Amino acid sequence: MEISFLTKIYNSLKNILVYSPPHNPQAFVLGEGDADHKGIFNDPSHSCSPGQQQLERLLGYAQRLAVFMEKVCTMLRAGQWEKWNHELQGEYNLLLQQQEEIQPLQLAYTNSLGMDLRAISISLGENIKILKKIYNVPANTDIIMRSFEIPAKPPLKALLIYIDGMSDKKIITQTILRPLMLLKSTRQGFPNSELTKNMIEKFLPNGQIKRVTNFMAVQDSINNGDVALFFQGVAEALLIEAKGLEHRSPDRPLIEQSIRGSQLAFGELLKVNTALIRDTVHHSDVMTEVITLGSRGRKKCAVMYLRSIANPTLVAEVKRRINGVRTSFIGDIDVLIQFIEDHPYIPLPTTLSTERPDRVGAHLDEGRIALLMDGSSFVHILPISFFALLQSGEDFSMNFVNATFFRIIRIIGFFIATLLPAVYLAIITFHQEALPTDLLLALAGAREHVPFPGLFEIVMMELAFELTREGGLRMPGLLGPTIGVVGAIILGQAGISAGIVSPVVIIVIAVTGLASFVIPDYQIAVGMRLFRFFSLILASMMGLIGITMGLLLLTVVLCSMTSFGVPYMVPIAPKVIPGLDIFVRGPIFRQEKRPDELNPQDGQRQPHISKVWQTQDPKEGGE
Amino acid sequence: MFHRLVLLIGLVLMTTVFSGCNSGYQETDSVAYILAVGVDKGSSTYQIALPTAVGSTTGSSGKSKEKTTETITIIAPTMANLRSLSKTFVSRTLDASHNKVYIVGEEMARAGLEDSLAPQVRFYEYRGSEFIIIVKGSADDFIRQNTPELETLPSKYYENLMSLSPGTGFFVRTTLHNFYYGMKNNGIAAYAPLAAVNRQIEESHKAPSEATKSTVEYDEPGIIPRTGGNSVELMGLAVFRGDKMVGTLNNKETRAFSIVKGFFKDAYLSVADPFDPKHSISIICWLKEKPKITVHLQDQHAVIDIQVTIEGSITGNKMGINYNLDENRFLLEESFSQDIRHDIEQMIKHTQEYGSDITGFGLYARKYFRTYQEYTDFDWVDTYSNADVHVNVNVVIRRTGLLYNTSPFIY
Amino acid sequence: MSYRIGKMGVAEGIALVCISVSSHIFLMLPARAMSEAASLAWLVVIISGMVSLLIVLMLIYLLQSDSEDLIDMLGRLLGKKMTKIVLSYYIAAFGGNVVLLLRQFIENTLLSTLPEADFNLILIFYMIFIITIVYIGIEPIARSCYLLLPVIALALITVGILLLPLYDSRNLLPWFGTGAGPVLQSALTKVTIIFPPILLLFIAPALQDKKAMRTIALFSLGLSTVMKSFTVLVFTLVFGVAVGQEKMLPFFEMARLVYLNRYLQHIEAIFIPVWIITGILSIAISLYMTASLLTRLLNLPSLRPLLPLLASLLIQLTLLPPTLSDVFKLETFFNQYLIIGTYLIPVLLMIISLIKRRRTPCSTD
Repeated sequence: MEISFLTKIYNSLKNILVYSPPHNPQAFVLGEGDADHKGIFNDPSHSCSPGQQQLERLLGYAQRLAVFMEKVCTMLRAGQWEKWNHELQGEYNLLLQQQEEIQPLQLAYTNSLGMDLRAISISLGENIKILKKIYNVPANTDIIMRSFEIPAKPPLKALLIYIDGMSDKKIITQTILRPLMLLKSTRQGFPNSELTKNMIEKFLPNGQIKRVTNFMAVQDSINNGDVALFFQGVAEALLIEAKGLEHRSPDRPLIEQSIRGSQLAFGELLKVNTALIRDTVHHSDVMTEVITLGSRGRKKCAVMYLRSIANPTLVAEVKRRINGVRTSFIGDIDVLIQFIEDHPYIPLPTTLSTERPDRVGAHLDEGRIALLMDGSSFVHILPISFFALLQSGEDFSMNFVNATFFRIIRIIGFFIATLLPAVYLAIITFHQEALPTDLLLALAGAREHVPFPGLFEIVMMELAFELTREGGLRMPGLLGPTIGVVGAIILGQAGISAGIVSPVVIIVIAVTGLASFVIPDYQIAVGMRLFRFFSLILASMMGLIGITMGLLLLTVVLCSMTSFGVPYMVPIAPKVIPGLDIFVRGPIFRQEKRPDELNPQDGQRQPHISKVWQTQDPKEGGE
Repeated sequence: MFHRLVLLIGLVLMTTVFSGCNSGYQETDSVAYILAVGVDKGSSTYQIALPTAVGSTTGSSGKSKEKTTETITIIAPTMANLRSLSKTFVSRTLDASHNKVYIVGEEMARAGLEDSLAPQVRFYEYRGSEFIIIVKGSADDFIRQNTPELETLPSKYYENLMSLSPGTGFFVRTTLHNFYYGMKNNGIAAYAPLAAVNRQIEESHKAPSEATKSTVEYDEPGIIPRTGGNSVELMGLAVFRGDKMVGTLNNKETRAFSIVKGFFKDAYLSVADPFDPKHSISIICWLKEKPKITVHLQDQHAVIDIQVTIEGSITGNKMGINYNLDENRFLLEESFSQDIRHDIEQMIKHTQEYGSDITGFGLYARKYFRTYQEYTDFDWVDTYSNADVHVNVNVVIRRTGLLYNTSPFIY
Repeated sequence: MSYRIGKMGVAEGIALVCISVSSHIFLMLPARAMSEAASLAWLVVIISGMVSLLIVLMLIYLLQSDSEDLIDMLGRLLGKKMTKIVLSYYIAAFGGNVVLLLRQFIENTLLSTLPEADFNLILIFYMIFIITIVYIGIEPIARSCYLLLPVIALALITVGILLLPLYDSRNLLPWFGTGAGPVLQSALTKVTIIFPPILLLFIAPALQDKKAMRTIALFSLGLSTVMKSFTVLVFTLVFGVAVGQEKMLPFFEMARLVYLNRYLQHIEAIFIPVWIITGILSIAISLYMTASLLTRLLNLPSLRPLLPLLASLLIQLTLLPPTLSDVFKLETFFNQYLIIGTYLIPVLLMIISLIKRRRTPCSTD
């Protein structure tokens, strides 16, 4: 239709004057759907689902059946055969009729259960349909479903399902498809009831095969990289070990480098890590108990301990806590530890996190428990005491005098890293009489030109140092440490020549930063960093008195912590028999007892004389 | 519950803010450190350190010596007055916690230190390890004239100088702790080193024609004939009775006092050579052990025995005489013993005249008393003034320096 | 029953009592002992320590079973009403201990380290930390005491050793001080009554058995007596009676006097943490005992909600005496009040127990 001239003018004016929103496509916004308000854990309507009703009816039937069978039993024992015709026959007929009603109930119930809890059905086609529904197969291209026929008389249909990339193709071809598809066709038909057992025992040359009857187990193993095998006419599936995920091989430790001692670190696969630990201990008492966690992300977590040494109540407690975790996805073992640790609100660690198998082996021998998780290259050792967190792995590789010297340096570094800025601030502002006169006047002279008060200066420099440290972490590859060093030097020097900071503060902050790298455990270093800021504030309020109160509070809090039932400051706080291993490391031939606080089953690890004097003459060439 | 906790903590923190939260937080640039305190009759002097000169990092060596301290004198009757007045013109808070020395003018000392020194003990910045010096003249003048060349700060000067006192014995290092102890206790009197400004430093001096061969005796400080060096001198001892100064000891008596008290180590002694009185001979000597002092007290009469053993090593002697031979050495030892014994007896005579027992013989007499009240009631000053003193000095010359034997000169 | 604390070992018990008793070293104990007994001040301390040890051992002997504590024993020997009265006496005793210690430590702080601070500020600051520490519980306090006890002992020994050049052994003469009579009397009644070891009997169920309690009493009172006596001895040797009895802060003055060379001087700032730790821990222990006995008396289910209220009440009491000399008068009066609890009540209990034992005949099989 022709638009008239006036209408055109009107439209153009309208376009200019009246606001209309721009015609951009809408940006993606994650709106709130109904599903957000209902978690699957606290859904009130969950209790009244139709599945529940069917279950109740099924249970009612089962109860009636049980009561009937009780009556039959008493009747048979009493020998009253005539009762059958009178009373119980009628009940029996009624129960038979009810059984026919039960069938559709059962069907409905299993239907309402959801895919996960259904049992594997006899028909292969049904299984295929269920599997396609679970995995959303045509759209989800990672899942491979391979149907094939086993050449027997009559031919047997079978289905293989696995995830592409997680399973090893060689194993599938060599140990499953080849033996089954190339069977001699003279084999007789398989009796169905014994089919899977025969399969495992005679035809599948794979190292690890399991038989399962429900889809939950099938899903778990497929999601982990195994292969599931279904047969026509059998209500079971075979789960065949075929993991072939590409993973990082065990490498040098990134964080806990040492000059002496082994240079191996954990990888990401649970199997590899448990194998590495077993390789350290080499004893049949090593127990690996695997627990699966999470509702959406089904990750495996392993608890390892030495059965003859570790305290069984401790093991039971750890497993109880892990089993009580209900969450959707656990990404890392540290997340798991935060769920199960004793003091979630205190930022100090109650487990020792390490990436070296030799350390794990040593601690397992003392009676501790190791916690591993699939996908995490760190292993957590528990229970631990505060002093164990200040030891490094190579302490035992060295002579005890050297090891003691290094330990003392570490403890001094620990105190410096925690307290030096606060003590410096307290002394130059409150307790100026503590310094020798010359030193004090030198400091005062250096600070004459600084325009900031002492607290502000220190906080500024601390902040600069923390920024440098964090920035150096995030910078990629080669640039990171360089920028850290360069930034620190430039900041310091420029600050001094501009007269913004005094040189002493730079020294203090630099020494503090260096000392904090001496602390072997990362989490304790971070926790102590927080305490350093707290004590700075206290120092600026009340001087040395404030620092003392902060230290006292810290000591009391540390003494009140427990790590899985073992007090944190053992063996000093509750006084137990010390094992020559707290501050001073005793010689290796004197460490005869296991740590008393773990209450192990076998307290003695070395006899009193651990260097036995052999009486043969060495020239005889020893036998 | 959580909100209540947060509210509670917030309220508590607010109280700290409202109350000013100034619990003594002093920046280093709002405090001035006093290095020396001088007390005269009616006025007091503070010597304050200047940190910019001392602690500058961007300065280089080789520049001219600049002023490192500032001295202020205020005419005010008491210390409290002084403190308040000083805040009217000094822009920083005065802090006496680094005070090293307490200098008292002689006039003030003779009038009594009760008003000035005794209340200092109550002050929280007082420290028992500060030194005390009595000055002939005024303390104000002394502090201003004290410009040591070797040290940047006068505090270092005082500390170093005081640590040298056992090496000469001409003055005795005294801390306020010792001084106060002497003032308050019955069996001992207080003493302090004597000092003065030497007014004749710039002049040149001529040696006298007939000089003594043994140690020269100076009756008071500030009269050493010398050119160059710091203007102040410490020599001699001021003797107190209670809190009033009653007399002085000259340098040889002070040396004797150091010997009897046991503060004597590595000092030089000279006497006229017994073989040839025209020459003098000197030794470095030290006390072998603390002198054995026994005090017998009977019916208000005291008998004091002093046994001193000094060892020495010959440093300077006339050539030709071999002092390793026993009889030579014995003669030498005798002459030294005589000299020292004479000094000790002089010292004791003087202190008995003044009535002040600075050596502390009364403390040895404590064992004759059963309870403390008996002891405090006893009049030791009187007993000491009438006491009999027997002195026995034994000098043993152990070594002869680097020469074993001396051969005579060939003329 | 939240007043049933867990289990404590021998070492922790020793540290607990040792720290509560040695807090008075850092207050005016040496000077007061010296003004009462002149040169025998060190003996006064030893005598009072030994007497207290005897009393505590006697009370331990009176305990009948391993899980009985003093309150049960009072109930057994004295009856319910008298138990309530005696218990309230002990509550007042521990509470008064808190108040006096707190006041004196704050005055100490104001005098020596923070002269320009405000009294109320320091009071609130200390009380917040003390309440937090007591809230965490007595077991961590005991463990911290054990951890920190060597630090305190080391500090005292260090001061003693560094003052060696200033010792004058003639200060210990004349031997008898003020006379045997006054010395004995001041040891038992005037200078501090050693009251805290009684807390051992109140926490008896947590300690292992009677033998352990005897070990604890012996070692803790022995150690604290040695520490106190050593400090008083050094104080006498360095200062002498005439000068020493004037001092308000003996330990602080001793630390100030250290002067070995140009660099080893002015070290009293290093010893500030030592006496702060001792003071705060001993106040925390007394506060805990007050609150714990109060819950026992009133049959309250738990201890922790009481703490802020109790603390604020005690704060008001701390602010009551207007001047420091009033605090001394109060302390003298408090010492006399403590005589009842430390000497009379245990002796009374002993007598009643002996009488009861004589009345009930021994069973023969």
